[in-house]
This record gives sequence, C-alpha cells and structure tokens, in this order.
Amino acid sequence: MGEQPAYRGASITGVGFTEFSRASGRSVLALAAEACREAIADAGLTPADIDGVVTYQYLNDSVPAQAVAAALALGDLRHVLDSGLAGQAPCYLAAHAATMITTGVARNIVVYRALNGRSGQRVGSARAPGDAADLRHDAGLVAYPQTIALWARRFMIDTGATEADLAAVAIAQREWAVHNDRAVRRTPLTRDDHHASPMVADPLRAVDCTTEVDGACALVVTTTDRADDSPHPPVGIRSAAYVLGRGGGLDMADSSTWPDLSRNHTSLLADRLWADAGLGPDDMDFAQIYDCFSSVVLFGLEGLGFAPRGGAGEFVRAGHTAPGGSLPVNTNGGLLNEGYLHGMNTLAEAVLQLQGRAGARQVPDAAVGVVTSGALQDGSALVLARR
Amino acid sequence: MSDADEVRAGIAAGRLLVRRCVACGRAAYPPMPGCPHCGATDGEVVEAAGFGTLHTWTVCHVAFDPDLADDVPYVVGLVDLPEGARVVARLDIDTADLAADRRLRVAFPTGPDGTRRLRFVLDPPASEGPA
Repeated sequence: MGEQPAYRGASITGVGFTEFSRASGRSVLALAAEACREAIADAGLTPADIDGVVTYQYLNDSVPAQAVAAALALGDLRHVLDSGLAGQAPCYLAAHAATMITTGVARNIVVYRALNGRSGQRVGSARAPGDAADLRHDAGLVAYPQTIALWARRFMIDTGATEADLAAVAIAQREWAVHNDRAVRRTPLTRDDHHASPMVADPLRAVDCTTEVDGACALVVTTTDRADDSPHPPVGIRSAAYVLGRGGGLDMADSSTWPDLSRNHTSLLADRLWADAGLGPDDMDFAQIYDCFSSVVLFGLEGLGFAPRGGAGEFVRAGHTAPGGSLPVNTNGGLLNEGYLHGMNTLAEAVLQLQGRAGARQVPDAAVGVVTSGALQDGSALVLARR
Repeated sequence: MSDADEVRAGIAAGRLLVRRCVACGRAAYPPMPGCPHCGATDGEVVEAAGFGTLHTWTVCHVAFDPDLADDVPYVVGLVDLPEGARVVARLDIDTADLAADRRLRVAFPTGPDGTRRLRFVLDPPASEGPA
C-alpha cells in the first residue's frame, strides 16, 4: 500500500542526436552509435557506465542493441531489449528502462532509435507481414498515410473537424519549427501554402504528413542517486501508461475490428495516466503529442482531455498550441517538421524543455509536461517532471 | 498456408467470404484462428450477403506501389457488413458520391490479368448522367 510505481525511482538525464537529413550517407549503426555516445556524454557518463541498451524498430529497419554495444565497446550488459513496437515505443521504453533501474536489474540504460528512414527503408510504404496486410495490399491500401487518412476521415465525420483544423495543426507546428535548427522543414507555412500542398491520401496533404529522415536519437536513464550528479537537471517520470486497445487487429494498420476510428489509444490511457500522476491536463506546461500526421494531434488533444470532443480544431485554431499559447504542443515542430524519428525525438524534446535547454523555443518555467507515442490502436504516454 | 486462403479463393470465384464465429455469430475479415469479438475458436467460412455501408474512405493520390501508378487517384474504403465484419476494399465510386453510411454492394470486376478483383459499388447504382 502506498508503494510508488517502480518507474518513479529513476531519472532521464541526457539526450543525444545526430543530424537529421534526407540522405545521411552513413550506416544505421554509425547513426545509432553517435546518438548514444552523445546522450551518454550529455548525462555526464562514459560508455563504461552503461549496463543496459534498449531500442525499437519497425520491420527490421534498424540495428540491434548488441551492435551498438559492440560499436561503443560497452562492458558486460545486464539488460538489452530489441522491441518491434515502432512509434508506440518511446514512452513505454523510457518507463521500462526506469523500472529496470529501480528494481536493480541495471544502473544506466541508453534508449535509442536509429534509421535511414528516408534514404533506406521507408516506414510509410513498408509492407507488414500477415493476412491483414496482404488483404489491404490487394485493396490498394499499401502505405501508412492511407491508413491514417481512413481514421482522419472518420474523425471528421464523427466530430465535425475540417481540413482547416488539419491546416491549423500544421501551421502552428511550423511556427515552432522556425526556432529549431534541427528541423528539416523550417520555412513559415500559411493557410494558402497548406491548401496548395498536394493531396497524398485525402484528407491528408503532403504538409499533413511527417517528413521521413535519416538520423538517430537517444536518451539515458539512470538511478536517482546518480542523477543528482548529472550536468543537467534530472527529469523524473510522474506517470506512465501503455495500452493496446481491445480490437486492435492483426497489425498496426488493421482497423477491421477497432470499435471507434475517431478515438485512438490516448482516449483509453488518459484516465490512468492522469490518475497515476495526480495531475490533470490543466497542470501541464506543454504537450508533446505524437504527430506522424497532423490529424493525430487532434486525436491526442481530445483523447488526453485538453479539448472536448469535437473541440480540438477550435483549440488549435485559437492559437493555444502555438508559440505563446496556453498549451505549447510539439515545440520542436513535431515529427511533421523536425523529422520522423518515430517519437524518440518527441520524447527528447520534452526532456530538453524540462531541463531548460530548448533555446529559442523554450517554454518559460517548464516544470511538467506530457508526451505520447503512437497514433492508432496502441501507444504509450508519460507525464514528466523536472526533479 | 494462410488463414485467409479461403477468402482469397472466394474472391477469385466471385464470392465474398467471411469467417463467422459459431459461438457469437459475428463475422471477421480477415479471418483469424480465434474470433476477434469473443475469442472462441470454432468458426465457419460463410458467404456474406454482399452489401454493407461505407464506414470511412480515402482518395489515394500517390502511388506508393509502382503497380498502382496507372490507378491514381483511386478510392479505398472500409465497408461494414451486416454480418459484423469490416472489409477493406477498393471502391468503384465517383468521389462526389462518397458519404458516410452510404449503402454499397460487392462487385467482382475482372482485371487486365483475367482475375477477379474485390470492389464495392453504390447500391443502388448512381443515377445516370455524366460522371
């Protein structure tokens, strides 16, 4: 009774990035090793301190933890995990790493995502194995944006959202991206620009879709004792939740048994996330909402309770999520603009904000924020707080 | 061997087959070894009545597969069958006629390679006139 969740006993202390580009000209392992090396140094540690490596991929588009351990000449590892959870993973794996540390399995864990997502294997058109994927392919539903479009269309039918709401998300996030050197898309975006952007899968235009990139991103989770000595303020996990909703189908693009295409995983995990945090939407200084596509932000704003059902578009159009707004959202410009590191960079941005290291896009006095990972039936979320 | 072999054979023969759960009576598409609605393992492959309602759709403007280069723009939808299954299929429907809950029926036009394709069309058909 009264026991703290295990993930509360550890802290995130460092982050690392490679450059995000459309053609890295480097191996995925080189990218992974660089981001991990950066994150370890950022946390004030050396590779010799690392005894756990955790990562995720989608359809073998990355390199395993073992390879990174080799490239960094790490010592004896007590914990490795290669997950196939794709963009649903970052929040889940950070909480997992924290739990491994609190329970004594490992002491310092590096978590990374690395891929040549633009010049190499591209997620958007990668084909999953299995019957659901085969039948989708026969139907011409061959790419992830098309699946998201099916959900976005049903969301618009059920909530009254419009293309103008999608545009508002893309425009607000571009306002953030202007202040982010790492963002691939940085030129300001107008309503006319949005309208002129070519349709990819109706209702999604090109600027409603993430920009696939080559790159890597990593973070370090460590014991609370060690975190006190880290160069930057440690960031703690107040609450963590993962859910795969009932009726989730055979793979992440199988919507054949999902009960409500206008609600995603955020609607299912929100109550648990807020209750475990002892906090609510009004307490958040920012939200980093997984945004492989603009529509997913609307799902997240309603799912997490920042906006009422059918109110997310108005919330964004009113400027609440943009710089200077009441709820800064995706302050790195999001996956839409910074690049598609499958939410690892979404989580890293939250850490940078809470450490006060976000530069020109810093949210003043950011002390607590929420992060989500994933777009559809399953996903994870964290409430993070500066210690 | 795949759990969908019979469904694919059905399409080739111009029949829309689904797997109906013996326990709860609801259908699944794609078929699975257990019923996705109740988990029961006893199921039977049955022919669907062949109509449904349009749940959602997307007009695909980009050919993410080179084989679809001549098809864009084309329409894909999810169709809710009265049997309880939701089917993913190409829609041979003018984009102006796309609307939630439109009644559709299955069709099996023959492709250039001589095989039948699973499609849904308006039911009743769109009124005569220029497309």
